[in-house]
Amino acid sequence: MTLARARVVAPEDALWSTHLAWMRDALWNTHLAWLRESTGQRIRAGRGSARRSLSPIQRYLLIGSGATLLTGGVLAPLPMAIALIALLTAVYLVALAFRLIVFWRGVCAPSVLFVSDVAARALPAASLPVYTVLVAAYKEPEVIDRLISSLAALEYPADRLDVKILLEADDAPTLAAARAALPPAHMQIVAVPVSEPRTKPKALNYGVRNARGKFLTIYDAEDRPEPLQLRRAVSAFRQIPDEVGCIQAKLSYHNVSQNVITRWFTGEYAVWFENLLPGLASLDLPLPLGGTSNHFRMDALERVGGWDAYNVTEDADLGIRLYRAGYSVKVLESTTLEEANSDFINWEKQRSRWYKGYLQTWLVHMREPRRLWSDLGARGFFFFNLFIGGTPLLTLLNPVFWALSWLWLLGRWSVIAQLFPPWLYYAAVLSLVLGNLSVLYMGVVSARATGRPALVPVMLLAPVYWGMMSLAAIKAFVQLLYAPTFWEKTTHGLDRPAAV
Amino acid sequence: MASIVPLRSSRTMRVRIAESMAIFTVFSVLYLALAVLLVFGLQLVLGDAWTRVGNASHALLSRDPHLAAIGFVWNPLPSLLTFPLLLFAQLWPSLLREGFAANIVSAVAMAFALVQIDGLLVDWGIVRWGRLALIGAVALNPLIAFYGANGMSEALFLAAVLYTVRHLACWLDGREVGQLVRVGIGVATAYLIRYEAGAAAIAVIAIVAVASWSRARSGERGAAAQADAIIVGMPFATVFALWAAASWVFVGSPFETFTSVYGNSSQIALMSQWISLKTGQGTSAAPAFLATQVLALGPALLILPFVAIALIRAKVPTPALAAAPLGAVLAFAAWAFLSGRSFGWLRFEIMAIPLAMIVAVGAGALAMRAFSGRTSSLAIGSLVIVLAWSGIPTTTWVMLDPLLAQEESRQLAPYVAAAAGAPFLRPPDSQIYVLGGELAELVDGLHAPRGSVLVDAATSYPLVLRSQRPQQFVIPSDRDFRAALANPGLFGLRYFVVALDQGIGIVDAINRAHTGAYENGGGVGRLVGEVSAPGLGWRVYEVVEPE
Repeated sequence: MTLARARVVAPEDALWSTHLAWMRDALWNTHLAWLRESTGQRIRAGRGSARRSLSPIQRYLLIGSGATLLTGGVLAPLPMAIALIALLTAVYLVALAFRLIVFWRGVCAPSVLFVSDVAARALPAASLPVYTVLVAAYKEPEVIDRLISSLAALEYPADRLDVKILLEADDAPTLAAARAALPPAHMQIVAVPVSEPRTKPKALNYGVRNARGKFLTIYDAEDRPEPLQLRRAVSAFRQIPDEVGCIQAKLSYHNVSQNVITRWFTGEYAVWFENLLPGLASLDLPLPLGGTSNHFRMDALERVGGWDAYNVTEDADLGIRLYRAGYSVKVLESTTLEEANSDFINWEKQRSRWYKGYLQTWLVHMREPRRLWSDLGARGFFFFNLFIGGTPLLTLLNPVFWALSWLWLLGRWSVIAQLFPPWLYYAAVLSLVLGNLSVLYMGVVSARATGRPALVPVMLLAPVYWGMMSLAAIKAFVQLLYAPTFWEKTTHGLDRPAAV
Repeated sequence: MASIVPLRSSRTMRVRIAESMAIFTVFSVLYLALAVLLVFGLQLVLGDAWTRVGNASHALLSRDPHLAAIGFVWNPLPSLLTFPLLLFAQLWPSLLREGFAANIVSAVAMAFALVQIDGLLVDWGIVRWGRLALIGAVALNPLIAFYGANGMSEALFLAAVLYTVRHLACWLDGREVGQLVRVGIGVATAYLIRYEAGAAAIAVIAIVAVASWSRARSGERGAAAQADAIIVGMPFATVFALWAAASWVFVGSPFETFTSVYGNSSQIALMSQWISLKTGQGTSAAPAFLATQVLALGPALLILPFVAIALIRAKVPTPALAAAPLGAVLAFAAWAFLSGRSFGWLRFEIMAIPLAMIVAVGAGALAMRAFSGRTSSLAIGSLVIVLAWSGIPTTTWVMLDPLLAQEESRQLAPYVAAAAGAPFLRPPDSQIYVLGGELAELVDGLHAPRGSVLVDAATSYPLVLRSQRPQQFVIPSDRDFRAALANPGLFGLRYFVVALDQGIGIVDAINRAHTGAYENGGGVGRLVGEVSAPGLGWRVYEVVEPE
């Protein structure tokens, strides 16, 4: 671990060791509880939280650049527009090159931890540590039965499982359904006291307080984790250095062929989990964690202070914070099946939350860019800006450039020609053609690589899906201004026909 | 406990990389040295190589630089790859004036092609001395060495097709999707070099679909075949469509090499009688002509059908299937020639050389299965190498045959004859180059201002390329060329240069626009000067107002 990357944890390290030095076993539990509380508080109230979107400096910078654009737009609209398009084209090209590098790395030399079935089952039950499994659910009584059967299917000794189903205290229907399902003894139903913000990460932080596990993982209520996943994770953790703070299992969907949206969504996940994440891991870059099935070393999770309750993509944020604290994240060859969002409106809500969360994460970490640079290193800093900040921004801008291209092709408007002097024209055409086609191709290739050849033809139609993404990005930007921490709840259970 | 992160053996990787680098370096240097000898020693600058650099210079360094000026008659990659080199044309004018940028590209490409062969042989488990001997059989074949050095697009085309072959073999054995992506990119790149790659693309897509279908789980066969065909075919389909669309947008027709007056079809129409006379095209003698060419390049091809069938029956089909892109290009060349759509040039069959080597290796593999033991494998290995090297003397012979290798013998035979003491007759390409220098001196001496000399760069390329002041010319890729051609006086032109109205010169835009332009100025010019040689010539006219 480099000094620079360790710096963010140094104060707590000191605290930790001082306490360790004089606190005896009798005090240990009290201390741990206090530390859990305090780190959670720190995240919740402090500079590292998305409770406030913009720091004062960021606000001035935003207003300042807005004013510059406006002044430039009034005084010299054409040069201003050309400069802006040139800048954005450069960002597009760099982002594309970067994505291609990561993707290709994920195709040729993916860094994925592999534990065979035999090796996973060979671990003697007595040697297995206590494993905490957190599942947060809200207003979804209909998924409880299946959740309990999915969790029961995990091949892990029940006496070493510490399952906590986290429900909101005022969510009476779900609580009732959970109690009626009579879960086995190792599955505890926890009523999370009513408090703001009403988010999943807040519930998870609450769940961690009494967690007993050496390792901890989280699932969503509708998840179907691969039964050997916990054993594979334990085996993997034992073979890799302690600085790996988290292992991310792959995610995919069980309702792939429900409709075209679920097919596209599955194809998109294939790109992400099959190639991009393993590519990032292979390049030793920070990994934005994906929603569920992240397996933590408990000490690492505590040290970084749990989840940011105000961030609506707390998973991506946590991945960055782990990396800043000197931990790395690896990908595990084991797939959790989720329910793909099959409804257009519901999909837009979920996606806009993701983009908003990325923007929140970007803003939070960029409050102190110099410190971020020293924590992440130049490569990591570059990645962070391009992936976390760039993804929603470029998705937002895509329709503008698509529209310009079509207007030019069909209408030959001279205004558009003026916006693109020859040097910029070639770069923009390269970005448009190469960018769109290679992203399309990546989807096709990943769909095949993930073992779903039937998805390939559908992935050729992905540009329609990209349009849906852009719509969500617009919504995310608007919402970031008006309701930055509002959590767009995704409705689950849409994969089944309505009860008759 | 076994490692949970799959690792490649780093030592094996290092050795492989070192071997590839060594082969690449040695042969790049060798072909470059040969290129220096050809261009600067023998003044042998081949027109087709030189004009590719010319096309790049129109896009980059002309009076009206724009990318579309690269032209749409020839597929663009050979020109595009000279772009970075032409940035240094100020420092070293020979990159442009002698077209040496093309020679650099071809030398490096041919060395890269050899690296692909090396990779193939490593994957097939051939020991190092065997690999080097087999690579030598290809690398030192005179046709390979000549096209590695002379700047033509053959080397690039070979490199792209062999890259395709190599990764197709990897995919057939390992079924990794990454290999399939490489195959797709390889064949798409080949199309950006030569349109014959279309045949290779069809072969690749068919093989991948069938192989995928036969290996997939039942119930998934159709989807797997379709998915793999899409992955391997999409890059090709994309560049095919983009290139056609760009051509359509800029010059109004999607396939210029078939429709333009400067394209292949037009040249063949001009030369058809002559081709028929020399090659027997259109008569029963044509297949024999073709077979002699191909077998001379690779005598081992005589046993190709037997080896291919035996490999497939022995359930080791990879070499036979992976070599299909080479075979497809050859088959296309044969079909084009026999049906009167091509010239019968020897270089169109250059794929026969690596294909023959693969046939020799395949035959060796089959023999090894029949006879085991150290002595017999040594004997078989030696026989394979003899078979592979047998192409070198026969290629040398065919390259100097004035009928079977019209281009190569025309360009090289005069030097061989001169070395033997006969009087030296400068070969046509060299003649054009030398004459172009005289013409450029004449025109540059007129001190015409910028944009005041009208030329057709397709027929007068030696002038445009050898001139010290290329910006004085108005050339067809300039967007005001048509206006200038229609009204030379009104446009403010001072001079025009027109090619002899015979052979290729018939398509000279000025000859076509102004009848008698070469003969008497077509009513718009007064003769200023002329350079000529038998069957070759240019005249410089001063523009006069029509009476």
